[in-house]
Amino acid sequence: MERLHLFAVGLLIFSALLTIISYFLLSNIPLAALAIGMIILAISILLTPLQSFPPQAIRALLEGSALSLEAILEEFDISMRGYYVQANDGRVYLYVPLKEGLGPPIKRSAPSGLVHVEDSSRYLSLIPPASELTKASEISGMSLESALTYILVDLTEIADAVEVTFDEVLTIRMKNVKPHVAAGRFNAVFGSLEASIAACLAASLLGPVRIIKEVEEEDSKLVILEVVEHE
Amino acid sequence: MNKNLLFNVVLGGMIISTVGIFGALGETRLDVYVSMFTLEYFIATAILRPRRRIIDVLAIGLLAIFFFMVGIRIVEMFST
Repeated sequence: MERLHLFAVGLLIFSALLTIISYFLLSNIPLAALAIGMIILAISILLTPLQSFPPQAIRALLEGSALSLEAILEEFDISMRGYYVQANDGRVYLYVPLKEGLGPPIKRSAPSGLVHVEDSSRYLSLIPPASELTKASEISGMSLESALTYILVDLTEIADAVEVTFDEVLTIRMKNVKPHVAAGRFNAVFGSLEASIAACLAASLLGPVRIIKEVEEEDSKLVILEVVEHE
Repeated sequence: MNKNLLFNVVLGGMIISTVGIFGALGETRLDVYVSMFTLEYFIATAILRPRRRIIDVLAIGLLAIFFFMVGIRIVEMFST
């Protein structure tokens, strides 16, 4: 057991005894209240994870994944924006049309290879960096805004706040987005890292989406998504 | 500072301040103290959003105690 948790267990036992003594024997209410407060604090410390994964490390892993995808895109000479689609296996894939004017694939089966063929349409299918994050148990049952806040603000600390509005298009405003590694082709195909994360979550909750544009403002960033087919 | 650690530091500070201030004012109702602790816990949680290893049993427990105490007060009001 870690030192802090040992301290919390000690504090909990001491505070429980102090509560009994101060309330029943001394009849000193402020002292009993202080002891109850210490019990609350001790339980709070025990509930706190000590080895939480640092947000910087999560960001670095996501950026590393983006750079790998950048190399693949460079090799295939692809720069067309793709569609984020959740397949039947629960994973979100990015389908990049290999021909102009193609919509997202209609079937929801997971792609069998790098090139996905549906009727006469061909797509390059890739797994976005945040694809697995969309399956996290912590965000199940959450609204899109809550899930985005959990992933972008709490888990990765990419942004300070997230706001979602949905009319004809889905607009996501992210406040104080942290700068990260720049990858030109990745940005062209997947959108920026934060937009890609947002699109993955939107695809898993709303259906196939495509990033229309990203607008940089003074202290915030707007990511505009088109929900291709609302489920 | 890690926000989980910061949460516990802030909560500890709030609890000690509450006892100090209410004790100095001569408050002797234990439920007032516990209600304040509950309120402070939820305010600190809402602002700092600390991560939890399991479901937040402390929040559930504090809320249950709070409702129990409010219920007793309401019963007292109707019975007088």
